[in-house]
Amino acid sequence: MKRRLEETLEECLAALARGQSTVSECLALYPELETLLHTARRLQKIYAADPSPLYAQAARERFLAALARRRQRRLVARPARPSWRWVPAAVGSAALIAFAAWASVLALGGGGGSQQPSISVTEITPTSTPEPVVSDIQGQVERLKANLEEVRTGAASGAVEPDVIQQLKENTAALVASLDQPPALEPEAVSQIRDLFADQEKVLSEVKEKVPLLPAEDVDEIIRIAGAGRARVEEMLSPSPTATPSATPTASPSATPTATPEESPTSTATPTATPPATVTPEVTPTPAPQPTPSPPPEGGEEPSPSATAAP
Amino acid sequence: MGYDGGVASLAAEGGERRRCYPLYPDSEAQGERLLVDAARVGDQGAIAELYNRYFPRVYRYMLVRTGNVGDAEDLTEEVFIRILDALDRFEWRQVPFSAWLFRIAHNAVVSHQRRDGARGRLSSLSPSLPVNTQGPEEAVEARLALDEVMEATRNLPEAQRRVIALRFGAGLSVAETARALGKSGGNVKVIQHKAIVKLRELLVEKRPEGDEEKA
Repeated sequence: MKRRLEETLEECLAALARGQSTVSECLALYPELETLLHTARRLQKIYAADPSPLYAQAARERFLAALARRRQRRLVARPARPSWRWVPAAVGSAALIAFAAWASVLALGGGGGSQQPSISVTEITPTSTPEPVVSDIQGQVERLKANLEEVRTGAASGAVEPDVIQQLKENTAALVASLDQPPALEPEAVSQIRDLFADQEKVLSEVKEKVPLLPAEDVDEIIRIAGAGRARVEEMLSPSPTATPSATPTASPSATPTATPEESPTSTATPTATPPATVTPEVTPTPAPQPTPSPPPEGGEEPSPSATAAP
Repeated sequence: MGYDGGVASLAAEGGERRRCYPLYPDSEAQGERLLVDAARVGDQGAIAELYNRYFPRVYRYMLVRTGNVGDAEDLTEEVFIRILDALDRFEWRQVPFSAWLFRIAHNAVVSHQRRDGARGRLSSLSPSLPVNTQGPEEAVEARLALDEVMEATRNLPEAQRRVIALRFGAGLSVAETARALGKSGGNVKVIQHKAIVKLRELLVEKRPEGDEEKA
């Protein structure tokens, strides 16, 4: 009987809301609803309170301002790639090609036979990964904080939405990825990121125990990513000379002219701390290097078949 | 920049692009879907329109949940900022947009309660709160009634309060409320019924004898 009362009450409320019935018509059908229906109608009427116009106007302006700020932040975070960005690469490539041509001419004109040192020259091409900017990282930190707060909130009420976990995972990974090429962050901001990662690890470890229905493997993965991020940030806070990141040019094989030792380009290929070597000189032992170009060889020059490029 | 009847147009910034969102009752859900999809990809006009649609409903929801005008105002704004941050991650996965939005609102309330360390701060409603009445006497009476109902609502169990806030504050249907709460429609009706019975009892207790019918 009680269940029926709930159904009929809702039926009447829905009919009233649609304007398909009046209170008296409902009560004629279901007189037992009288007190409940009156109370429900009173609630509907009383709760239809509008915000004050002054507040509503001010709130709208603040919202639109926040919307504009976010839009601006997005634009800053994804700057259009300027055309002059490719100028250094173009100049570098042209210089390399000119050098290769010059070396070939020298070798053809004065190669010393098959025992000439062979040098593999790798072309330096600029990386195409856009570097993150400070505002982008700040945005990521804010999003991560909001995600973490949602997880906390959900855990307090006993349920965390899978979406929230997924977002947390994505945002954590994005922030950690941004730290690979960090912009000039203030030490305070870096400390804040470290604390955020640490907080995240702690919260997730607690939440994992409190909310057993959570996908444990996802949570573990987020903890692992956050741990990696924290380690990276700590590395940034205590920088060592080898930890300074630099542009990571990719190397690709190119022409491999033969040249005399003194023309070796090794002086321009200063190895940095980053793993990928930019130029890999491969010098074949030369028993008797000839400082000056010798007459053309009899059989011509062959590019070294062992020419390799460092990845 | 608002809906203008059956076929409402929202101008994108600078009026370069115009998108139409149908608003006939039978296509309301589809219209909202278009609006939400446009907002998700950053259409400023669509975001502003969603704000216009949901702002009063979120405000009323917050009023019922917190029983306090100041908190309701702060939390309403907080909810929309959270929505701005989360909108591009919203996906149509079985839950309608309204259910998703009011889950965010619920989370904001829970965070607020944790920050405050109390189950809703009690304070009288702002005298500036309009209550949709005409004369000053009516306004005073309505305000007192609102105070009275708010106080009674605060004494409801959490689940009942949430249902009342969503049904009578936010104006969600039973189905939408069920989606927002992750419960069945039948369960929502049961909770709603219990809440109304309890509220009536609380309101009648406050009234002098012989004045029960007003509750």
